Amino acid sequence: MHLVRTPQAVIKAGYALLLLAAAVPVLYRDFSSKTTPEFEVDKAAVLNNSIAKMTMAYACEDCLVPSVHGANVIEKLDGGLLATWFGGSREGGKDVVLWGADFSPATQRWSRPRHIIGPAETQTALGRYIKTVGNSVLVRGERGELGLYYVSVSVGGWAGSSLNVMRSRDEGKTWDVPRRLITSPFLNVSTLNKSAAIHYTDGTIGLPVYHEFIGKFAELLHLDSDGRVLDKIRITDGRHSIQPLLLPLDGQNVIALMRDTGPRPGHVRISLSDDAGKHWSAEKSLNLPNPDSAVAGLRRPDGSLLLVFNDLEAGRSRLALAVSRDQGQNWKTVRYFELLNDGKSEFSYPYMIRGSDGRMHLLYTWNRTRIRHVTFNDNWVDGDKP
Amino acid sequence: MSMYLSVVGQAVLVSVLIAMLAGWFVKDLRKLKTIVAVGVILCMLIPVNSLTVAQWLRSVAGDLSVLTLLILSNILMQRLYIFNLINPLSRQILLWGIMLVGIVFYPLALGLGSIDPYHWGYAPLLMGISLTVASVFSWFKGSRDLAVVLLLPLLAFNFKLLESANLWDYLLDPVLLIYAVVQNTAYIKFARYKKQGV
Repeated sequence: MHLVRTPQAVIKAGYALLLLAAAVPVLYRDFSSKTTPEFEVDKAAVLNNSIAKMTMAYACEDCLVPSVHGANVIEKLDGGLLATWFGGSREGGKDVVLWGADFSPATQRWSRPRHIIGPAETQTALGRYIKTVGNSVLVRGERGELGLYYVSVSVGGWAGSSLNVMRSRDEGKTWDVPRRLITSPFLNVSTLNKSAAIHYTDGTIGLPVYHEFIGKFAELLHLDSDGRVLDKIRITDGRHSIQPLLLPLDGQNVIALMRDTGPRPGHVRISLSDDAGKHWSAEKSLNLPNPDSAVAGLRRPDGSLLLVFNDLEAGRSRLALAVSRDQGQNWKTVRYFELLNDGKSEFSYPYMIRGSDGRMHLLYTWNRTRIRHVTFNDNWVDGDKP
Repeated sequence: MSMYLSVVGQAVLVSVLIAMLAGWFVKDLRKLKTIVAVGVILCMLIPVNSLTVAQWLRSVAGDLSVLTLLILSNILMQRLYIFNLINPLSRQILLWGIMLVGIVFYPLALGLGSIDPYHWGYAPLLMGISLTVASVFSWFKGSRDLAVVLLLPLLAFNFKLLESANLWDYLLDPVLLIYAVVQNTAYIKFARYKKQGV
């Protein structure tokens, strides 16, 4: 070895320097790291006392492609909405791209869907093969910018998914180049998102995600305001629960409600954390049916929780709204958005937000051909039933 | 910054594959070096169906860890320069360590049970201390190359030379685990064969 000819003192000094450069930053970073921040709650805590009202429309009635799915929505700074979803010839197809549309607060109408990003642009940006794209979630950053976290697949099905993020500083008109999030040690598969992000008081973001490669379980990604991964926390394990919906109850307490992928009949699954998501209780089943389908929900300013779910043991042809007033332990179904129950129709993948005016906006897949948009207020939820 | 080491990884992986394939037919080292050099340039630059061969490989194999880069660089130096970058004994110890850690790590990280060791890699105080202690121990035991090798992933992690913010991705990847399992299995079979021969 050529090292033999180098003076021993130089070798030792070199090793000492390497040791310092390798070890000290890790030790320093860990000892100087701040305590885990609390959840931010009640950001849009406006109580809406207007008369009970519910309106139904479509975020895309003519969606330009045969199949659409996985919609999400965020309120824009002007009070309008921005929604994104994926669509193409079929779910998982190579022609599937992410579509977006804006809801104008002035006209109360949705714009024509526009192409946001697809496999080709993602492939060019990442320098690796991308077969298709899938679920997306819009997140408002600390400095007001929008982040679009979306799934892409290189090999295989959804189990081979990775997450990417791109940002917009003009409310979704233009987007910067996407970047991969490294969230898994095995070829960076499989991490998928579905539900809305939660925010911490220090400006960081909690993105609920799930894994469905060998196991099927829920996780929480802790991201900084630029979308860099700070931590990943396992919410559940095993093969029974995916697509977590996180509902912070206060700064420390949060519940995760999940889709049941276990043996039938399934039930909505729940897990709790009382330390801002660092540790989670063992999951259990709620007394709500779940036909292996995603749920959506939010916390209202009065502390009650809303949940949109398919209240069936099989199929997705009925979509209901339930309310809990005991932090998610017991639920009462109060309204139906879809009540066909024909076993064939599909009303699925709900996504719900509360606007700064206190109105709720619910988007969901309508028979895979349209994205339904329902707007309602608190009095419609709590008022007399038809 | 985070892309550079990934590109180096692609180049080294392609070089090793070409060196191994061409090595079957070409015994002249000078010719082999030329073939590897030309092959790497072609694989890194010429697109095939919109991606280069290196990018196609990256799509399948993912980004390589720092330890994989070192092991592959060692193979390349052996093949092209008949030179060991890492002492064979140190390399053997390293591959055993990788195999033992990898066999426990991957099932847990992919969901077997409630413990997720991958989570530890985001704030890797214990992992950092373990690597440092192992490195110092190796140094005083005389395995200086192993001592250096154990610190390089930590150094690369501090400088964020890969896309990942998780120390595990600087230490391990599936390509390395498979290589370690194959090499260690071959080593055991060889040792058994040698014993029988004696």
